[in-house]
Amino acid sequence: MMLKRLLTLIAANDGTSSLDWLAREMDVPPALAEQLMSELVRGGYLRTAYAECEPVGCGACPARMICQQPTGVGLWELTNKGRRLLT
Amino acid sequence: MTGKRRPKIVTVALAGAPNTGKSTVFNALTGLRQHVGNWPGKTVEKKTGIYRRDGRVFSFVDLPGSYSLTANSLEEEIARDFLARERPDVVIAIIDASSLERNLYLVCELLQLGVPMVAALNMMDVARSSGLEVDVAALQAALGVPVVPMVARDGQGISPLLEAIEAVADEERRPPTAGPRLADEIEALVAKLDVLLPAELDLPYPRRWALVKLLEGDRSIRRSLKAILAPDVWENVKSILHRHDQAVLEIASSRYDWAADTYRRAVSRPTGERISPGERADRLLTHPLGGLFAFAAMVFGIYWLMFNVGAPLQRWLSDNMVARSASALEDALGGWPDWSTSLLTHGLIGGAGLVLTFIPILAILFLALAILEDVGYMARAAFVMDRFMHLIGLRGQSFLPLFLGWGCNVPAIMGSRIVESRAARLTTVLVAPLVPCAARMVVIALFTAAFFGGAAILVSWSMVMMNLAVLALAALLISRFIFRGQESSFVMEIPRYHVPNIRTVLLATGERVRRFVVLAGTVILAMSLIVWAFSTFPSNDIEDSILGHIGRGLAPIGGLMGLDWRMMVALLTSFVAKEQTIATLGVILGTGEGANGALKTNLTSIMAPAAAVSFIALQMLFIPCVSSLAAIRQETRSWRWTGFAVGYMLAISFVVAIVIYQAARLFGLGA
Repeated sequence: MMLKRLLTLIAANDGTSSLDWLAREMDVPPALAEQLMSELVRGGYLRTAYAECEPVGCGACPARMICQQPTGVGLWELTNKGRRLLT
Repeated sequence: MTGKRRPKIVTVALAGAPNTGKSTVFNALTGLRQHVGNWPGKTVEKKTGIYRRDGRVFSFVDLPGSYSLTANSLEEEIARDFLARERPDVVIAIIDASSLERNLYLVCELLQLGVPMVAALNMMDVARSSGLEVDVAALQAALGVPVVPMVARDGQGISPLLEAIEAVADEERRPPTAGPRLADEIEALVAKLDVLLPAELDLPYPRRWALVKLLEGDRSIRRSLKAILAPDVWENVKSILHRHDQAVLEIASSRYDWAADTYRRAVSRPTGERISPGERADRLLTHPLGGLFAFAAMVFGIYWLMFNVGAPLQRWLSDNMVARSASALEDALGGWPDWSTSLLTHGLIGGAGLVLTFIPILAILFLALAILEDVGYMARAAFVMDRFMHLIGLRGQSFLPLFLGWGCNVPAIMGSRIVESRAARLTTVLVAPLVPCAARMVVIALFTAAFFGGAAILVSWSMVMMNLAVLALAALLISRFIFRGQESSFVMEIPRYHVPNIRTVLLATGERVRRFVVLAGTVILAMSLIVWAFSTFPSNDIEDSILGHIGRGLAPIGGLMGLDWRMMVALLTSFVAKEQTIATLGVILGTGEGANGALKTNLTSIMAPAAAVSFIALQMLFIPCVSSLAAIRQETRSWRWTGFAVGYMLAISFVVAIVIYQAARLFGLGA
């Protein structure tokens, strides 16, 4: 089961995995790995790290004048639901 | 059994993920016979077009791009509803051949919906150039529908596509023969739900398909069912959905597994691994150890540029602009009272003016950061540092805000709000002011250049590394003893490398320099004038001034680090802004002939190299500036934690500075 395998790989690493590494491990293109991540987010097994920023938007953010958003990277975190699924 | 029919008007829907060339295919099929409007009640654009052939009308509808048939967005809901409710005669699934595995998920959903379908395998040229060979016959066998290879951009494959559409339109509808089978447990759940729903229920979607979507958590289907079912029936449905909320994973996985299997059957990838230059670079830059060394080397490189390119420019500006302006102004104001001349030459030019001469050094730092960001290196550095941060008890999300801190600590503190766990967020907020910000770099640049000459770069680099080590230790202690949080697992997307965009880089650099100039022209200028007033009044003798009295109160503490009262006053005023240290020293120690040289000479005359290193450490670890403190208060919503930040940084800065001073004396730097 592809999604569960992906979740297992993420959980096995108590730290940060790169999406490229996960794609290589799964033997799928990075774009598909990203789609799988979105699926896991929709199911509540992962969450995006920018979740709290998105509804506010840069326009209303107090840090807008100083924040350059330099990294521009996607970041996902394993949720308790995701952890529960694997135990 | 396949029968024949011949509808006069054939409705054809074009479905596909974004960027698959759907609109190109639509334009090629319809030419200029298009109509553009909106979907009923929605602000999403609806494009329709007509094609006539042998007395028949083919009415094409370009559906919004979607990755699946679950209504995750307005576009996907529109596409899904049209396909499931309007039941077009033919659906063209536009597939990007170079990204086949990803596109097959939607194809799978279309097969499960049971729509008459033609697969348009677009962008075959891109797939070929990537080394992918798609076996069209194998794909057709796996999908059980006609597959037409195309390069729509060049008009290739349009005629065969039209023929395939006509053939499918003339066929009787039949259940799909391909696509994944649902697991037995899912089938059992579908059956259970089916029993619960009244047989005569008038659903706007195919019944079985809607039940599967319900198990997938489709909000739109949930809403529809809730509205039409009796409350007790809906409660039973909800209870099943709640107990089996993992069904979505099972269903989606079965589609992805099917897509992967179909891909393996139809696509042969190039033999032998082709490693791109970017992947080669990543082997070093994202390596757990090599990446850390590369990061340290990168910081060293930036310092090399700051000292070898920026510092000479700063000296030139200081000697030729600040000193000459002060001298010229002094001459021009010959008849004015001494205090007013002193205010303008020492307070204004010697304070804020001197700070502005550091623009070249800062501009190089900002430029280097902007280039590294635009090239895509920062994400890699963040990834490497993130692993390191896990070792010291910080969470994965913390690296993003901390990286913002290299420019200024305020966004680093504010950015910590992306960290969900309260414990991890507070830890991040409390250590963020320890990230060596650009303002501190200015102070380091002045002191290392004055005291260490050729070794300035090495000393600066060492001090930054020391600063990061203290940050690591502080994070470790805070996360172990104050905020214990649960370890978590993260995934990070690392962007591709690309050539930096000059405009983007210059805009980012210019904006940061502008902010520095604004700061120097407002806060630092005002503070410089206050420092000047405190150093001049009441007796025009700095030793007997208000500042002198304050400084002498701090002198005993400074003595432990070899610092006299003037250095302690400079440190104290850095509470307003870290750059203020230089402005204050400029006011107190004067500028005179050759401002830069004068300040440096005066500095070397009042302290030994051991004290200078100690002062740099003190400055780097000292309490955050007032803006950072305000940000800490805002993010923690607690004066207690704000006070804790001040207290622990005060303690760390003095302890480290004293240890460094005493150690440096042992190494003979005390004289």
